Amino acid sequence: MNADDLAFADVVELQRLLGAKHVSSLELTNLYLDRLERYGPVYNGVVTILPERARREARRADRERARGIVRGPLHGIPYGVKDLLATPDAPTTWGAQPYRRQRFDFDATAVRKLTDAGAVLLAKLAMVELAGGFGYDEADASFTGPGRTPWNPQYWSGGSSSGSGIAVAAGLVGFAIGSETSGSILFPSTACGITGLRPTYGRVSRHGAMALCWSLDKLGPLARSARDTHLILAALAGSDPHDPTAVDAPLSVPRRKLRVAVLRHATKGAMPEVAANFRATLRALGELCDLAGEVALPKGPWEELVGTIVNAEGAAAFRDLIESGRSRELRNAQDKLGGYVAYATPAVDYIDAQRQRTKLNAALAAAMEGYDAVVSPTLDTVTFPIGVPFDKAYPKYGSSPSLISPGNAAGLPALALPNGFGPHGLPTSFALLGSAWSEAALATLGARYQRATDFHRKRPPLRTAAASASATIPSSTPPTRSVT
Amino acid sequence: MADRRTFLGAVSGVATTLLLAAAADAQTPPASPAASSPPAAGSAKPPSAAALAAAAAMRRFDPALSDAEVETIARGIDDNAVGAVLNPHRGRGLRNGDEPVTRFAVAVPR
Repeated sequence: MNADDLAFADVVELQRLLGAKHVSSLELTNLYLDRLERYGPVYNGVVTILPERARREARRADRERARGIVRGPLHGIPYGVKDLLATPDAPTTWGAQPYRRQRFDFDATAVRKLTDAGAVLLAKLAMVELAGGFGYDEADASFTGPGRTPWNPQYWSGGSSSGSGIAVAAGLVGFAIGSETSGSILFPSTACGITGLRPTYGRVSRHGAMALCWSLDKLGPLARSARDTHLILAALAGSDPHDPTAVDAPLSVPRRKLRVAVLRHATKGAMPEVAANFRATLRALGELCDLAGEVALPKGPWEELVGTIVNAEGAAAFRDLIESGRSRELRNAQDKLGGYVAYATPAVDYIDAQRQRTKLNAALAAAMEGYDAVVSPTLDTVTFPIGVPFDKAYPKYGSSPSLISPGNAAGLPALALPNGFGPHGLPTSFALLGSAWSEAALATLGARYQRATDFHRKRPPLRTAAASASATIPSSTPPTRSVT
Repeated sequence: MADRRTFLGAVSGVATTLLLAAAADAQTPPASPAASSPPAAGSAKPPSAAALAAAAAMRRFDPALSDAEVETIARGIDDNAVGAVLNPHRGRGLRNGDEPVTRFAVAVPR
């Protein structure tokens, strides 16, 4: 197996190679550190590389393995985290200029759990500033510059977990952790052609993670296979005295064929390539599960209620920033003023949004009754060109019903899986929206789909910094190296 | 507008409706009020006096806000009038007793 094969292997395969002593954790760590240095700046995917911590943790993993101690399936596997998770080794920037020197003296619970599982933290990864809470409208919304998908660096990596998507897609880490308030795992997973799992609200502790919206924020894995997402989630899951919303719930798979419905009108506003790839996906899924019937998305102001909740909670979460006048330091033009708009959200609108949420969540649960999951394209289009406002990119498309806001409002899990390519060599994907606490079932079905297809094994044609310079793709801020 | 918002929900990565009010206004007359982000200056309809007052009050946080920026914020506040969609008087079915999804509770001693 050559270095590229190693870099793009999934966690299950890496663990097999580690167990067979074909590679050590330190060798794997050095390989990824080199790739983070080489490719991270090309795609604007990295904020801080942590070589000292990574090598320390890798040596520990190797020492333990030599003594016969293997903590679990993540033992010795290098990974990265979205730069909204606290670590004491480096600044935690939240992707935003006003927080570039912010430091915490502890590991976020998610990082601590991965450390306890034997995983090796390599880097803090780029993200959209404040996870997009102030209403960004272009890919430029990060002090590290626009995230570029490794499939075509003239196009956006998606956000807000931009660097997590880039790093997994380009083979810079074994897996990554991102966060989703409403779409921030599913979108970059699609744009970067990887597998992303948004867990059920409350599955993973958010202690030490930047709060944007307490009643919507979730942390979850971005990985190179569905089977990986299950293993990573198992390490992350569980209650935490520091996060009262985090609970212990089983990760179990029903001992029967899963029953899956198709979202009605799922492709009515989709690009032709997205629709064609989705039809092929349904043919494949038909062999793997009980694909029975359609589910109509309950009518309701889903987008308004999620938007109102994010506005009100986000304005509270960043009240200090707004009231200090420093939101002007943010990168994206909309973000500079969006905090003030959010700050003016009437309290009664917020409460009514949470009241509508009660009713609409019940309607969604009723619509999904009898099904394990609902399937639809994750997005109507491929990802957007950099430098073009999102709404100007594909004005002909986008009118299909979307499960992103309803799924997030209801706190339900979703798994995005690559299912082909569209214009400009850009990936497309489909999503499975599951019932609450059904992540293991989604990952199992996803793994079956990936055994029958090979889209998750495709590799992007990576560029080096020199090649990108000659192609006039500017890279913005080079990653820093931790000095502690 | 509903379609537009669905599109936004898919693309925004986070806030769904926080984007593009101005663009949406430019393309489609809103069937329902848009949500929050500040639209580009230069939209045809002037912001309301109430929104302008609320926007101007943000100068207490950033005295350097220009008149154009205040107007942009005001347009965002107007476009963010989602209460018209969410409140019980517009046929969305909220009644007095409908509770929010987040509730206060007093812990029962073990």
